[in-house]
Amino acid sequence: MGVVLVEKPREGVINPMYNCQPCGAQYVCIGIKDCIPLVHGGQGCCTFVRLLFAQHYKENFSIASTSLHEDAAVFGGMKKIEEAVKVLVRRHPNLRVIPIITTCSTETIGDDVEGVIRKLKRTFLEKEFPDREVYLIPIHTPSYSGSHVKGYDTAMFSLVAYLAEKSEPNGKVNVFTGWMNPGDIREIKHILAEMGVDYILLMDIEGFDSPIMPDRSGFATGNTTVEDIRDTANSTASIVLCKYEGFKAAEFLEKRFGVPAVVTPTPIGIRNTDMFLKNLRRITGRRIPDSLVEERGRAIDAMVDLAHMFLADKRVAIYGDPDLVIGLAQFCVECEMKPVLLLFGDDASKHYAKDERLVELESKVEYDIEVVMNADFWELERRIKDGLKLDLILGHSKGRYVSIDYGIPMVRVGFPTFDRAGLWRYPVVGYNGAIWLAETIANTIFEDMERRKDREWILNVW
Amino acid sequence: MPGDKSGIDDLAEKIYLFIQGKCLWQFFPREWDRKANIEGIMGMAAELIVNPKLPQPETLVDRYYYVEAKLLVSDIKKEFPQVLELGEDEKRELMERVKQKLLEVMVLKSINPELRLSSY
Amino acid sequence: MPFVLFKCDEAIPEREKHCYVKAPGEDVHEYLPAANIATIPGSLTERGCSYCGAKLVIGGAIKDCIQMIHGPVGCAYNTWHTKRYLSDNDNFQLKHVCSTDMKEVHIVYGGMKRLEKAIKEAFEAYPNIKRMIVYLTCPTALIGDDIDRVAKKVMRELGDVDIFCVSCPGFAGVSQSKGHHEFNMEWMRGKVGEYEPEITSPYTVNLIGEYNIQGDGFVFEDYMRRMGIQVIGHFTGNGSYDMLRGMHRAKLNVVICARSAGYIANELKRRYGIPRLDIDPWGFEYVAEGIRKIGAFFGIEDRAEKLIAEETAKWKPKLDWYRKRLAGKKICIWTGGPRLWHWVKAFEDELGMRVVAMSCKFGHPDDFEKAISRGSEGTIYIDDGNELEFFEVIEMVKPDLIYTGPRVGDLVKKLHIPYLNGHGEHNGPYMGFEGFVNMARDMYNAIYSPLWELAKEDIRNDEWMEELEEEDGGEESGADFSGMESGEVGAEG
Repeated sequence: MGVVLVEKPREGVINPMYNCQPCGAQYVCIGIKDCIPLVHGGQGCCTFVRLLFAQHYKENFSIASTSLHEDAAVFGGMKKIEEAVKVLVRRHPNLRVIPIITTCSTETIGDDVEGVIRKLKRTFLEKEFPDREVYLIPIHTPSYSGSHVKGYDTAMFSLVAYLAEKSEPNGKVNVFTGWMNPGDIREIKHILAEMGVDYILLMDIEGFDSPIMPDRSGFATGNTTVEDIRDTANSTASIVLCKYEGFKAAEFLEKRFGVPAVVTPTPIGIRNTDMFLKNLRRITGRRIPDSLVEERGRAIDAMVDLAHMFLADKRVAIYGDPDLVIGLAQFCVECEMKPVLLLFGDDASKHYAKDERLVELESKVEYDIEVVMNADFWELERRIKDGLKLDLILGHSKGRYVSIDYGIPMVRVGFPTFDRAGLWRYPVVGYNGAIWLAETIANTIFEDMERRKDREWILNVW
Repeated sequence: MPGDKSGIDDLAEKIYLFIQGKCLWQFFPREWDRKANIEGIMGMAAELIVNPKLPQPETLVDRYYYVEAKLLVSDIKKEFPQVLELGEDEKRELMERVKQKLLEVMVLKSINPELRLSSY
Repeated sequence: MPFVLFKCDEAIPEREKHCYVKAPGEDVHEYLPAANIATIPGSLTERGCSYCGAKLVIGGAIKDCIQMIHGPVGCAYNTWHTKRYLSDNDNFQLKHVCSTDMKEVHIVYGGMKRLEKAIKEAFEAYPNIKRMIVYLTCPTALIGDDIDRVAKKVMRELGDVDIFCVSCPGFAGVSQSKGHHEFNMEWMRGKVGEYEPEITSPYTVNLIGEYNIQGDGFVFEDYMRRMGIQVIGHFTGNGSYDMLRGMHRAKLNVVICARSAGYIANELKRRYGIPRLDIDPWGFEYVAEGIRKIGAFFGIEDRAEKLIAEETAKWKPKLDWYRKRLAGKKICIWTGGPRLWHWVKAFEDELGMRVVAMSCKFGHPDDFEKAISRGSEGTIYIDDGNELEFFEVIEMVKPDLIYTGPRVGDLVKKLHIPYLNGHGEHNGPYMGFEGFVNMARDMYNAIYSPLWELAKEDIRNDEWMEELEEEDGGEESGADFSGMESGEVGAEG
């Protein structure tokens, strides 16, 4: 009994579960205030990622393209970067950061992004805008390497490595959240406030949940500033909530500036949130307040109401970003559910397989957990076709047809969740996230019972 | 007034503007098929406007011109009833002027740079 | 000056030639916005890429073939679940997409072996599907992978499959338009004429450039059925791979989207003498005219008139109800290209609206010839409009509604302007008689939504209290709210 690792037995992908690197890099960069990421490649690499973000958030994010055309593919695209940077700086007076995100095409061509940046500083920025600091930051994310997960990690590292600067200790904690939703960020801020911890959030994307304001000023925007990122070198420590999305940056800060990096299990479920609080306690010396103990109790109460009656032994398949998948699997075990199938969608999954959280999970369960590495949705669909019994799917909206066509209830979690309204507003992390998850899972199962008339009467009195 | 030259000029201009605002066949993407369409359809329209009983042509492409012309003539008669008062030669002249104007604007003087590309 | 340089474009004066305001008496041979030319880098273009034009727009709508994208996984991922084209094949085309998931090692050593394996695996996974389209993307084009050779090899080996290859790297051309072109020309060159469709009617057409968005094409297929006309190739909404190989057997090409599929209609005319009839599928008058022409072509005018009469009787009263409420409203059309000219007169003539600004992403000069010829004086015409220009145009024209895509739509809602999806449609179908009623309904619902009034109101404004006091005639109020006036309550931090 334990964790069984298997590799997708095919070369190609049928119905992809993961995106490519530039997407992850773009997601990091839109979290910065006064920043327009510049994607160096064909226009689609930016347009369709923007569409994906818009699908998920129903919001627009400004991302520019170098609009690589044939001439650039033949003679190199460096001139396109120059033109694009000039246009962006000249047209957007408040613009302060332009991350230059490479793609498969421009990495294959081998454009010297660093060289162009040096040239632009000397011949353009210093001459035309001597009083204005605009940061041009290279981010190398060839789409043929890793996935959006690696792209996220790489971009965060590149930004921090470029901007972080030692000055005075600030007494803050760098919080690397990984790829999360505004609801998660709100919850993390809430926990940090309750703990009385001063922090730098990377990235503060709470503002992606943006209002329509009477003065027409409400636009979706990231809120981590250049100063925030610069100041990460002076923090007491870094805490990393998603090991695969942010650790590289924290590790850099540790090696370069002596800011210790603490990797905490993604705070999904009770135990992982406990660990998060304890790690904060350890780093900052702050005591865990009564208010959070009460929240914790409320979450356990919610889970107790549901677990042995409705959730116990439910067989669950989980896919998505690695830290999310592992965190959800741990949460399932806390709620007496059986996460029998985990799917990781990129070639870094060999690392995931050795993840200590999975090793620990193995010691806790008395059934097999199959972990499919380098997976696609066909791995999920094929298993269902071949008779795998599942009661629930946890994952993002790209897998929706597996749920629809095979009639398996599904709770949308992670990114993107475009086929459900406003899910990004709610947390999956923290004690409040545990409540949301447990109750949303239960309600989804209830609706399925009613639709199938399967013991729906039990809900009359409960 | 129908019959006098300036009246026909004026009417031709109006019909030209009507076609501009409505008919997609004048906008075909290349010079040759734009010209072929305008000539084919306006030529057929000139016939139809004097001889509504003109039989349907045999080849598919001619039949297409015929169909476009037929609907155009019916529109012209509806929108510009003064056409009905014209004599046969005047009708032909009117249609010729519209055709020339269309060829002038859509082909000869066109500043559409893709019009003269050699392939589709 | 007919061309305008927006304030936001002062740093990129070359944008001036893309932005035009029509003055009285101007002809399209005097002024025509530059279109289908290189995008200005960093201008926040809304344009997509060539691959998108080939896969997302055209190939992806075909209902019975596997989509194999030869490139890194993102090209497949990002163009999946982004369209609303339906089919009667259980929406197979919406549910599945394949990728060769190219990795660095394949970029270095070539990806053809990987492609071959991925193709075979996919055919194995879908044993009932025997057709496939393979798309070449940026990196696989740059390393020179010969996808045709791989496809031929697999076709030889498997015997019962057919594969279509299209070279559409994202850097080719200036927008998705290049991908439309490639797909059209390659399909014509490689596939048309390969298959003999069963002919079931003396009246046969191809429906070209119709992608069955929200069932638009079903509406037209129904009209054709009711007139006894057989649709051979539906290029490509609800289209069948093999029937599209039999397009040469139709007697008439009915072209709807001339931008994305005019090419194949031209080639079918050149090679097979099949005439090209362009129609407008939006608006009662246009639709009726299109049906009349098709009927006249086959000499079945009576059937056409019967259909038009039935549909008009059914839908006209509903449209009239909306027309009364939409008349005079100002609207922008910021979409891909052809919808500008398809819609402008239908909105203006049939609904009494006023189209005040039009912008297209990937239109060509001929799209602007059409849009300007049909559009009004004083209207703004923009090629490849961008975010900052949109803000400026909104200030200039103050529209009541904008038909555009999700990204721009999500932006304009913050400015209290309703948007409707001009690509995927809000609640379609939009084509045909019923479709135009749906369009009018969506516009009415969006413009008259009570939410816009609420959005504008700033509840911090105390005018209502003054009004209340005036109404009370200065009588003493029973409660003392004085402590709440200073703005402490509800003030933002």
